[in-house]
Amino acid sequence: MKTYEEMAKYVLEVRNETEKKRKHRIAVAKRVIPAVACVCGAFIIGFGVWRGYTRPDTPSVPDNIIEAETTSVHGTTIPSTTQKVITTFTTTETNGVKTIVSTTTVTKAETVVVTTAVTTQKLTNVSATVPNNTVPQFINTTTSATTAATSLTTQESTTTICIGGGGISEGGGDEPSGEGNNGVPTGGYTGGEGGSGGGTSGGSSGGDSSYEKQQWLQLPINERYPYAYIYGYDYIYNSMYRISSDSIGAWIDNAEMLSGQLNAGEEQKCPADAYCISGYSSEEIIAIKFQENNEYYLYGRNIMDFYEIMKTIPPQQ
Amino acid sequence: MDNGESSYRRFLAGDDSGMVELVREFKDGLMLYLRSYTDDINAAEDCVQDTFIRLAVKKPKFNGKSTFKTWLYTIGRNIAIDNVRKLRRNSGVSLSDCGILADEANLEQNYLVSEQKINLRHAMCRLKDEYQQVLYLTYFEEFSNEETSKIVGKSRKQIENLLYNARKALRTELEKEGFKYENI
Repeated sequence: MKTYEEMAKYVLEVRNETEKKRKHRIAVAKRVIPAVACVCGAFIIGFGVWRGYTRPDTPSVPDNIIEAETTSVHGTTIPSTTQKVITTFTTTETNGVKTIVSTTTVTKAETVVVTTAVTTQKLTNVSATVPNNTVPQFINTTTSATTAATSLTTQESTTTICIGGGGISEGGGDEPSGEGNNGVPTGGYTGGEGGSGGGTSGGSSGGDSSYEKQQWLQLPINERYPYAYIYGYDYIYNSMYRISSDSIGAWIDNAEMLSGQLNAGEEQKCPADAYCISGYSSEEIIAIKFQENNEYYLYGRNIMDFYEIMKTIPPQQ
Repeated sequence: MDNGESSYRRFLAGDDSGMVELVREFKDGLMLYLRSYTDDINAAEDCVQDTFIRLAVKKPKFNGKSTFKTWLYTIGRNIAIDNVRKLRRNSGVSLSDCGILADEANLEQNYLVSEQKINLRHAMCRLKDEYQQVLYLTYFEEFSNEETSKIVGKSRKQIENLLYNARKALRTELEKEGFKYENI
């Protein structure tokens, strides 16, 4: 059994060793923590930079893809449409015979509106990196009739041109339409040309919203804005039909006209004037005059009987 | 010295002699008390040593809500309980029965001094652990019931009941051996 002196000595020794270890740990930590913090910081910064630069905004187009954009101008119903023509060249040389395969992809949107206007197509941008003296001049013409459809269609035509040996041979793909230029290649190039058609938009993205807006713009103004809201009234008036100015009463207030449908991600609104209808309360039906024209349109609440109102206020043809 | 508190404060201030004084003052009494937990005087000695090491290394703050001795015995008791738990988990063998070793005999002679007290303690060793603890703290260390309840971690009422039962059991034990104590 230990005496108190031995025990006290042992206790103090243990205390001293513990203190020594603790000081050593602190010293090691003081040396290691800044280094570790630097490494972690560098890693985090590096990771952040790497994450920031791995997503370029625009994907790079391969060298052998030539994009030509064709703009079609139509007569009256649709102002302009865009369709995209992508031409891909692949050149191979076997036993002195150079083979150029060009693949033309035409992407266009068909419309439900059939147009008979003559389509003038204009090549707006052509850029190509082609081997010297190996590209013949040729024009691909792809024609397609306008049909009533609502989806995007893609037409692809492939033209193969062999140079050397027995001259030029040419073959077509799904819709062969290439036309070779015989003789020595000249190096000039005219890009692919889109067919005529009632396509409304060029790219696949963004085409739908633009197409919707085109359709929406063709509607009569009271159908474009089927809902009317007057400040201070707790209800919405629905569009009914166009009326003559005979039954128009006093001006009520400015009305806010709402399209009720999303166009390009937002609801369309426009201001208009709201008038009373003679013989009716403004809480039942009102007349709306848009700023675009001087015509009056009848708007009413859902509680009203449509046919009863038509008897007293006939629609204007 | 005010029951060890000033020695502990001197040790905290950097004076190692304060710890030597504490060990000298409380080692034996604490060891005999902790023996009732460990059933082995050597294990009790280790617990005492661990108690002082904890004071020296961790330097816990003594807030003065009880006497320093009560506080120290509470720390010792917690360490002894942990130690017994570890021994049970590691060895799986029950602790040896109460046997008086030579070291323990020396310690008793030094600390308890009178033969009457030694005989009393021998009889206590045959009682339940709880009885031993409260009897030792009350009769040998002269703690009040309040202080004993703090050290053992029981309520005052429980300590009073325990003391009553322990006294009765001790009387029976002593009568078996032919002793008779008036004050029990």
